[in-house]
Amino acid sequence: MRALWQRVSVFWRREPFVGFAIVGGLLFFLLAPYLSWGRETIHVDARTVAGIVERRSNLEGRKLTTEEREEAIQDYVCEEILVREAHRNGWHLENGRVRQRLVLAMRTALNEDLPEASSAQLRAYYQANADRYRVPVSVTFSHVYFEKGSSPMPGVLGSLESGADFRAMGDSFWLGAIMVRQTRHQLQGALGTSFAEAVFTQEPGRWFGPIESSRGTHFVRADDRHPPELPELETLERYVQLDWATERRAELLERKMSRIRERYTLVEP
Amino acid sequence: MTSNHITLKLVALALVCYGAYYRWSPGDDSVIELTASMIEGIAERQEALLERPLTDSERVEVKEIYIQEEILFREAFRRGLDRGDRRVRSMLIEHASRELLRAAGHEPSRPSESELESYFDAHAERYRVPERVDLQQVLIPAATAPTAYDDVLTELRGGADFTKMGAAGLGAEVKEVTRSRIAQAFGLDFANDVFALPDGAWHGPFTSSAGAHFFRIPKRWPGRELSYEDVKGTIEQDFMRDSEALVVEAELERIRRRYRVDIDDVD
Repeated sequence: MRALWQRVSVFWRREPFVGFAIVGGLLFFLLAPYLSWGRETIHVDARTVAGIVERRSNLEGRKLTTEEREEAIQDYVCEEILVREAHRNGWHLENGRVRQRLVLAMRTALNEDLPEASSAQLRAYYQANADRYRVPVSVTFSHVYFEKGSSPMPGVLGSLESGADFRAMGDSFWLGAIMVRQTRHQLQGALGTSFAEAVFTQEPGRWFGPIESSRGTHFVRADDRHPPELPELETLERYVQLDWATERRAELLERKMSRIRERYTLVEP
Repeated sequence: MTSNHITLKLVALALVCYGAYYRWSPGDDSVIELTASMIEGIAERQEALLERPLTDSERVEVKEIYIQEEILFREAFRRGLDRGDRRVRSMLIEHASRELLRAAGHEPSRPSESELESYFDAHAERYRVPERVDLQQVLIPAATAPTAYDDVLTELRGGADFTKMGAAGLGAEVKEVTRSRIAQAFGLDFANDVFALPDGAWHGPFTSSAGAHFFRIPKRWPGRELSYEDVKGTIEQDFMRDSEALVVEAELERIRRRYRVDIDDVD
């Protein structure tokens, strides 16, 4: 024992730095479990305790016993550890449902309530984006419609050309016998592309047909062709206001995003 | 000992400390690393959605959208948007529990009939249907102008059509509502007051954060026991959930050493 002590004291005199490091390391490992430093603290304050107990007793529909109360608090602590472990291990970044919810929450947080555009701002925006609001060339036409599967009565075209009342002929059509200011796009959607092409290429004022559409057979007379026009701002004000706000928000979001992006480093292959 | 020796030893110690920190410190959330396979995965998911291959510019666009979402996602954590969100919390708890079960090598196995029967016997109170009431309600919202509550009560007791009065709250009439359901909406004291009402007549007002409530209980359903056969399917799920909870608890016991828990005393 004496010999060991002598060897230790010789070593200590020769290598005091290593000696201190060994003693320090031993103390660290021995005392670490009993010291709070290095350990994360979960502090459950009085307000949280009250909330936990209230929620659990509401769920049970009765006051909790002392054991149940303690159990509810310990359950909360376990949940808190699980949440912290999720962060610590990066599981929070892997969860698709959490991602979806927080991306949405973040977008909402970055969104600002904008005041409505002034009439001058709105008019300037409307003029600058006139093409978006211009109604393209459209056509007003009358037609006699026969449902799919029914055959048109013979001599329809002749009767129409000699001035028969087209409203009294054929089957009833859900959008009416006269279709007003239909754009090519609208007609394509309602009755198909080939029908829209036929109506837009016919000379106005003359009956022609039969033309097949996606819904049946038609005899058509183009009554009027309307050149492209820009409606008065007042008739579209609500939509223009909405578009203006959407664009402003997107610009603001873009600006905020580029500021936020500066904090992140992107590593790409 | 020369000063050179001391310097060398200090450098060695610093390197060890740095290495330990680098090995065990939490990752840096500000670095977004995109690997080739991740980019391919993002594009493939979008292609599956569109049912066609992406053009080059679309590939760039979906990657940009992913990066933007990733930044928004991390930023949300950085700003603590997850902390007040109960749904995010429960999703993380579920995720962490799954990871701990995986780490413990837990393999779910179906319980035997006798295990289920013993479980039912040990937890019979869990499978009891609690007392319920059919509840008719008139709610005068807190935001409305001051109302003469006595008049409302007189009207109701005089046979006025309650469905045309007040505003929709719990619903003008709810069937078989439990004490717990009312307590979760308005607190336990409120629920106890409602359940203590004599049946058949209108009573109120009962005030809550929503406004002034008037209630009538037209019918009361006593609590009843359920048989093993009634709840067999549920018991199996509960049994398996409890078995998993035990494994998670054991794992937590080990992890708990990393945390110091400090709970305030509350009377």
